Amino acid sequence: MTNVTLLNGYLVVGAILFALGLIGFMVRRNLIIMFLCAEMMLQGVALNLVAFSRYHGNMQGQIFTLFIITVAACEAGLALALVLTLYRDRHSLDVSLWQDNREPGEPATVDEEPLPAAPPPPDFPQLTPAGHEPTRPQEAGHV
Amino acid sequence: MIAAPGILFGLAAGEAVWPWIVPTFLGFVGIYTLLPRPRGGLPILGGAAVGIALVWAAALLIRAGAFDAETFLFLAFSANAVIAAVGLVTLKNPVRGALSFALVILSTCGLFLLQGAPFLTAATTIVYAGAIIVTFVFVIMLAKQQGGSDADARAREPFLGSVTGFFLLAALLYVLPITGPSLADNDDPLSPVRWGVSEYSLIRGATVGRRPELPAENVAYLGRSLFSDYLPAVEMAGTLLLVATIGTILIAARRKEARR
Repeated sequence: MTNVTLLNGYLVVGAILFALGLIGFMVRRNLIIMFLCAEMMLQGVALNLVAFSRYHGNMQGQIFTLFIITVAACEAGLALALVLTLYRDRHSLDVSLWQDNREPGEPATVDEEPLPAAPPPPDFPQLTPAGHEPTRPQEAGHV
Repeated sequence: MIAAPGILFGLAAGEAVWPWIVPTFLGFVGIYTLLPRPRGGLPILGGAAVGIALVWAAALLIRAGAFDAETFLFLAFSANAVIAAVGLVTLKNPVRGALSFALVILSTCGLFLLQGAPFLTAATTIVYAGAIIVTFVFVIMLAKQQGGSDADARAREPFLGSVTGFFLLAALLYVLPITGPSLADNDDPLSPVRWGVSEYSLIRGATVGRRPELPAENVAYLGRSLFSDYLPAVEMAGTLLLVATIGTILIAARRKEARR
């Protein structure tokens, strides 16, 4: 009896990971984070498959998960190559810089709120370089 | 009967699956609050909403069966995985997000281990946490951007994105107990005709009416099944890896004569 209850528990966790990965992929603008969210969707699916493999008592789910890992590795290599190519062009990982590729009827994503100003660089004390005699003011009663 | 699988999901006979709507809605509120914004927000509220949703979901799951060691480990790994997943989706700093994803992988590997898949635990840890995440942390380091940037501090349509994701999750959680498996399934676990594979992929040593346990010689069973039932798929996976390697080198290499 506990076996099936936990099966549903594993399916719920798989669904949660998939939904969170979906949200992250759609919402985030950093190319690397978008890719990692896609990988998290794959992990949710893998969890489902392994749960069913345990439930049914055969190896099919685990074998399919092995193939998912293989495909994920290939996808990671190709995604890395594409991200590097895009970065070399605009020197930014922001996917909104490429929004000219959107469909013709879609409105553009315009950033209206400005980012908060970066904190000013901290005020470091100026030290004299080693080996130089620091200039001293001339004494008033120098003879 | 529709209510019968509901029993297995922690609900009494005839009770609806509506109790799952509340933690899902709380999770939506939490994620929407935690998504990165330029002006910041109140992350405490979002964190509290997600925490309450998790505790509620755990309470709904525990109600079903006894609280033994397996249930406790399942809840611990699952909570860790979900919290780290929220971290990946909502953290502004991409390196922290990548490390949060490493925590998701390790928690999922723990869940694999609980379900009798030690080889998959090792393989997933090595490939995902060891290769993919390390590679992408290196890429983040090489593509560093000073201070806050558009790519990290902004989210694109956070409300619609969160609604879409949690609508999907609510639909899945609603359908799961209604169409979920019941004990009447799986009456003959050893019939190859039922599963469409040869007997190499099925587990020996089971009796009819009792679900077979996965054996300790997990790797032997995987090997036996991979190289008999799924041999064409293995060969194609090898070819796919080769093609992907060639494609990666071709796309990522700088070619001087291409820039003219």
